[in-house]
Amino acid sequence: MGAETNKEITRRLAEEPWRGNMDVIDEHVADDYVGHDPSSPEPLRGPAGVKEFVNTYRTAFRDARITVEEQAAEGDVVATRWTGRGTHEGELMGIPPTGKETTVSGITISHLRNGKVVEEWTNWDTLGMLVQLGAVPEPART
Amino acid sequence: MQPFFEPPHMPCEECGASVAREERDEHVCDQARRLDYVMFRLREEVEAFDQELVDYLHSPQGRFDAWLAERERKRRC
Repeated sequence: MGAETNKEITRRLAEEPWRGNMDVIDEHVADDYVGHDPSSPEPLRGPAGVKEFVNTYRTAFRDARITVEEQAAEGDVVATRWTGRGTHEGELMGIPPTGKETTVSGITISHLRNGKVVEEWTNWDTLGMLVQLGAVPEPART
Repeated sequence: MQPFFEPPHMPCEECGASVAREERDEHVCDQARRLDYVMFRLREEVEAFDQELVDYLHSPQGRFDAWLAERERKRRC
């Protein structure tokens, strides 16, 4: 697959499940997929692991959306910078719903094989989300 | 001096909208959103009130008060 095709695959995979299209996960996530995410103590495994992850956050943020801001690709590796937004209306990590809207940024490095994503390394502003939700104190200005 | 860590966005205290730090001074709350946010935060209180009202209306005092109110309503018609 070419770099542009790989970018399109990872863009769809980043954005569409949050609009309710879970089929894109079956379409583009390999059975032996492994996903690394700072908010998940164990790696996500396979399409089922990705769906469970998305469902966890969609339960907490029913209007959650991911917007891809920028992508770069080289061979079978794609880097995606994205922004996530959503209103906290369900329990998450023990935090009761706050009604607050949150915005976080993140970067995902995706490895593909034959048009399917086999591994991803994601770093996103988990601490920023916790601060926005009031679960972690906002650092005082000095 | 900037603190070590500061999220670029924070929810507005009044309406809950996610506001970029550099836009905080210009932010104006959408009143519909503000109302939704306040009601969301009061949801447990509202639910508790609903239940308290149901309990009251089924209590002897509540039933009598309802009967009295109905009698007054009919008297005024």
